[in-house]
Amino acid sequence: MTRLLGILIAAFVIATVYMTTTVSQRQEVLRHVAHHNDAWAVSQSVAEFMRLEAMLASHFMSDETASLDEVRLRLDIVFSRLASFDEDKLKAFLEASPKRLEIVTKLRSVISDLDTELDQMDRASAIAMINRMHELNGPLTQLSSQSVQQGWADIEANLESLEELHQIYGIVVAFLIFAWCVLILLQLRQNRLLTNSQKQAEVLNSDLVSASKELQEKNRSLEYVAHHDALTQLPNRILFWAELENALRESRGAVNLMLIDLNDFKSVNDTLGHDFGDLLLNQVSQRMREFDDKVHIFCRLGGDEFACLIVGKDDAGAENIAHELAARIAAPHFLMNRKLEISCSIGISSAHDPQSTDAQTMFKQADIALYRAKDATGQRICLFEEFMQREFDDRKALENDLRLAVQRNEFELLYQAQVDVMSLELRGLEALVRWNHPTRGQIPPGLFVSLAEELGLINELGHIILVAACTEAATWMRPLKIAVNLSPLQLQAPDFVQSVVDVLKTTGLPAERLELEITETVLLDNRERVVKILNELRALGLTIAMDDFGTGYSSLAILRDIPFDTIKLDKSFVRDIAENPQAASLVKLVVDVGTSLNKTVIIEGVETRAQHERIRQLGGPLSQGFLFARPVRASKLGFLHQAEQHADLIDDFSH
Amino acid sequence: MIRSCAVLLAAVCFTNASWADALPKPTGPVILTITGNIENTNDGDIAQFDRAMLEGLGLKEIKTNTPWYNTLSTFEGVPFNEVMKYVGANGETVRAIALNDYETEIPMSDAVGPDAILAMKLNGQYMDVRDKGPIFVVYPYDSSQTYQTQTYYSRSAWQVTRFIVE
Repeated sequence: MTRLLGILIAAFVIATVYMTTTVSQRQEVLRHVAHHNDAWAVSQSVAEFMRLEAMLASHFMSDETASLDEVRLRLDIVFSRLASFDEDKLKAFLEASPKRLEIVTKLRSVISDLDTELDQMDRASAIAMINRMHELNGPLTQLSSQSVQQGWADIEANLESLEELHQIYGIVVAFLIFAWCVLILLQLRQNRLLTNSQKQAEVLNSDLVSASKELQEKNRSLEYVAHHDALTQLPNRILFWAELENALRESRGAVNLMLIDLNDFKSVNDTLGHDFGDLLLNQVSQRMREFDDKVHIFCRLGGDEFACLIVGKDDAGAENIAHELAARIAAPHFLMNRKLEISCSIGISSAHDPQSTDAQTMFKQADIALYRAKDATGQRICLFEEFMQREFDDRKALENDLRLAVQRNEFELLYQAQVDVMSLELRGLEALVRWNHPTRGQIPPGLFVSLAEELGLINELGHIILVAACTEAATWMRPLKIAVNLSPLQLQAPDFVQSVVDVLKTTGLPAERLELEITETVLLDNRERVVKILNELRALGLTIAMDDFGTGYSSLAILRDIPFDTIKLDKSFVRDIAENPQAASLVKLVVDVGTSLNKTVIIEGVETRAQHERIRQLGGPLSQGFLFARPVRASKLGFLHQAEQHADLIDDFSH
Repeated sequence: MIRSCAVLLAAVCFTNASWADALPKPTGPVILTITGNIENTNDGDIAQFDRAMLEGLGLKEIKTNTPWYNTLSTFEGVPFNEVMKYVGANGETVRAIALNDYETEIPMSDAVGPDAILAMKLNGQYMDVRDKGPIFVVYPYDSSQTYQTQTYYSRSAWQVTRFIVE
């Protein structure tokens, strides 16, 4: 297409140039031919020659009618005419034929002779000259007529050239018309193509527009999905962080962050199923939305954790909202024909100068407050204060120390005696763990065992304790029981039974000498599994003690269903046993039940003689308490390495 | 009436007196005669010029190529318009008549225009009759395409001896 157009334009240019040059050439030729008419020149020369001849005759024949000057003038004129015979074109015409040259030569000769002889010419020589001139009249006239013919031939040739030129003109014009037509066609085609491509572009454009709309739509929905929780439709964690950072950046007033956690939601899920749990979460979030006009935004961070941003309220205002919200959430839920109540814990942190507050820090503070709220009893709403951070940091440090302690074995076992109430003989010893912290001193188990449980260190710690206790007991000469406390989590470890077997094997302690103490809380988990494990342990030959009996969820069913050997009655039952008959009755009941069920009963927390005496009266078989012995280090157990039995056990322990 | 007759008479007398004495008489051989509608004369109703009189009107040179000579030629002569002004020519055309009775018509616009000269010299030599003398009407052909046409070539009369102003 473009090439064709280029060829056409080139053809136009060539045709135009060709026409212009041809025309100008032709014009040049015509001008040259026309400018000097040779025929005229020749005929003029002939005429002047004859006028000279006549003038000469008139001067010499007719009594000098014409003067000599007039003759000479005519002669000069003829000379001037002869000069024109030397001009290019005329010269060529003359030289084309020898005959013409001969005539011209004769002419020049006659005129030349006349010129030299004129002044001395007499009549006779004049006549001779006239005769010579007369002879030339004929040939000169022929020359003239030939020149005319030549002129006509030239004109004819020029006419032919013109004709040719005209034909070329015609062809060129026809070609130009043709080229013009092609150009028009090309133009039309181009227009059509343009229209088509315009239409295509329009279609493409509208496609693009709709695609772009669709994309925007998808983007919007993707963005919504990315920033919202599918279950509750609340903004999710991502949007929460963006909103928090935004609020801190732009808010002029205070910003409060509430972290909300449903209490015991896990048990709802576990007992009523996840679908029910989801419904509950949904309804809780609906109730949160009722507060939308008081708060900036609610978010679901995941699970049963929610967050709420409050902008422009003081601490009291934020706390008020928290209380209202907690009350609203605590109101009974009716779901799937069930009535359910669930409370929540709320931790609040405040940024009084939002622009200089870091979002991460604020979140951590709210989290610390939430942690404390969960631990609290009653109103589980906690506003973060600086000391909480310190406590939190302290706890974190303790956690780190505990990890190191497990690695380095910074634990020591103390042993407390269990004695026969009647004979005061030593029945066994309970191993009690202490943590010898390098800077904090001795830390009791109540402060670090739960921490170890939270940190997942309890199996390791339990193993350390078990090994240490068994190793120590194995050195004793007397076959006393060694009682070791278990955490409920240890029972959940899949290879716990095997690990006990291994410890017994490596320490060489007979299984019958080992008593493992559990608490009733182990039964909160999978009761069947716990029963199975306990049976496996008992099958090894060791005994199981139920520690802190009488507190917690104790029920008679435990006595029936759980395979254990020893009841350790909690010390709270012993405290006023000496003064309060009812308390004594309870202890007696337990002792009787235990005895009739063939279980060993150990009364804990005996501190006074009066208590001891009372227990003796009630028929309690075994006791444990400060009255008999405080927990002591292994180094104080040297006497156990001797074969003979000491009579006064209490004395042995007391120094 | 009388007064107007007197004015007419005075005018006639003045006119006669003025052209009778307007131009000096030629002293050498007459080479150019101007007749016709002219105001200034020196011999009855004609004006006659010898070479000195013409040269007295000022000279001008034209260097040009011509159809008649094969080389660049230098012509020298009196400007045509000076001569026309000198004789007080009025009219449409000037007829130039050559020795051989060749006659050509030159429009007055050419004659009073600035370009044409009445050449008397060719390449520094006076032209005699054998060399297209004594007077050759020459245009500056090279100066314009217009002058290189048959029209102007035919107006370029040579061996001119007489102008008739009409």
